[in-house]
Amino acid sequence: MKSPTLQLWCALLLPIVAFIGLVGRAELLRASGPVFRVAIAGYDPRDLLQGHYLRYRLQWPAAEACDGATCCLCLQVSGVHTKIDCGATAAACEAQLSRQMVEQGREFFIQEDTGPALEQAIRRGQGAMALNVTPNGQVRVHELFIDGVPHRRWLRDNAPRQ
Amino acid sequence: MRLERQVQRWQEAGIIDATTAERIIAHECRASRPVLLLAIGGLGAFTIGVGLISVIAANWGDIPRFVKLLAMLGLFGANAYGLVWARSQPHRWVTDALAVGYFALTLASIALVGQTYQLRGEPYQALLLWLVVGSPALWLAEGAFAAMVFLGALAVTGAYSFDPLMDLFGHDHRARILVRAGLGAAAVFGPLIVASLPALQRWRPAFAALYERLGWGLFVLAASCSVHVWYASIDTNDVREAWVGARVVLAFVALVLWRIQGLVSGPQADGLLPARALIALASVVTGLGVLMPHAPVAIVGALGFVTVWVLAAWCGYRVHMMQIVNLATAVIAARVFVAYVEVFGAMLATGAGLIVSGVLLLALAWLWVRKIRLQPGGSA
Repeated sequence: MKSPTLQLWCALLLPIVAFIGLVGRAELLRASGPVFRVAIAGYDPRDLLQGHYLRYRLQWPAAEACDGATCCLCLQVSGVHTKIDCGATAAACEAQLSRQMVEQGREFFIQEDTGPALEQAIRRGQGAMALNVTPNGQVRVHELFIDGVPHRRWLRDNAPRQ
Repeated sequence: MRLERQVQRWQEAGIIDATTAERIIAHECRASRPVLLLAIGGLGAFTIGVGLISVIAANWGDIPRFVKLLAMLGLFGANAYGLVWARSQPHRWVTDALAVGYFALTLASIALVGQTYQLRGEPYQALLLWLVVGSPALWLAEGAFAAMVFLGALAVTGAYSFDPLMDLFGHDHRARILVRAGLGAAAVFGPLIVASLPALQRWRPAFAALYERLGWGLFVLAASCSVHVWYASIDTNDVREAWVGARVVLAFVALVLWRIQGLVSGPQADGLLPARALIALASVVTGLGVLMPHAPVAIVGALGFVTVWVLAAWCGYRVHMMQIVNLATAVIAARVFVAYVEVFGAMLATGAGLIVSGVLLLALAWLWVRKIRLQPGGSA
């Protein structure tokens, strides 16, 4: 076997280094803050290019403490999230999400045969998303919960796959 | 097998010894271009890559994320080992297939990270990263299939990146026109300019040959379409916008006119003059059509089209590629007939059109018989 040249090493290692870098960055951001569970609403489109995913939005809590563009979502690990004015200092908040971040359409990749069951559960208001907020205010999604349990376990226990 | 029998006959006749026979066979095996094998091998590797992406898209959610990520690293390792091993093998198609597979695997790995960590991003970001980190693996291949895969990946990335690039310039109308003109010119002239690079011709001759063929095809197609701008009416507003992008296109035309000598050197040097004439004339006719206001002048468009193909035929004739001359003859004949349909109307116009078309077609047939059938390999 010929000894690998510098060109060969570069060509072979570059994708692997990029892959490890992407994984490392994703792990770091995932661990960059406490994990919250936030209720969601959504539906299940299917995309030939991207596979199967649920499209959803985070939900505001029902209480109307504030309104308008300056309203933020105050997150607490206890799961009791509140609406607050973004400018107000709220010591109880462990993280805040701007209105834009809350109302942004999001996607959660799912296994291809689980779409209809999960879609129905989320329509019934059973869904919540476990997420953390990175230091620059971005959302990193961990897991989809249905009725308080990870969605894969919920599927195994409750919903026949279609 | 034919080569091996022939080498054996030379050996039996005492012309060469056993060592030389082995070296000849080894050299020919390495240097030969088994096109079908290369194509099938490359296609197989590409299919496996697409299959992997599809499996990832299916999102096998029951597998823990670290197992999926480690499996991807394992696939990378196996493919990389295969590439290192294949370099010492006489069959080049194995290296080509594995290099294309590695390129596809790179995209699959980026998709896997995006899906595993539920990352929300634009597809163009993933595609750009794929091109940057995956393309060096394609350079390990030597066959034209890898060059084609790279071009396909570039086209897809370009298509996905176009809108975000335009958004970057917001409402800056001039910048948007410049970018559009630059991308359009790069798409038309890019393959020819890249094919003329000495480094590519020396290190990857199959890549250069494919890009040259593709480049000429794209240019003649683009020129055939663009000269028809004379069929439209161009007002001062159109002209004002066209002038904004004209300097970029002009820079590309100048660059390709200069670099063209790198494509038609050596035995093809006779083609330099017609090649430059083809590029210059098509650019001038199209340029005048978009850079000055005019009412529809169909005759200029039709004559421009015929001239483009006459010059293409001249190029083919000078470099002894009779298939191009035959194709150009057929296209010109068809265009002459279409030109007759365009003037169809009153009896006088129809009659005159028929006569002129017939004379032109007869002249074309005479030229083809006299000039082309007499050439070696020119029989149709």
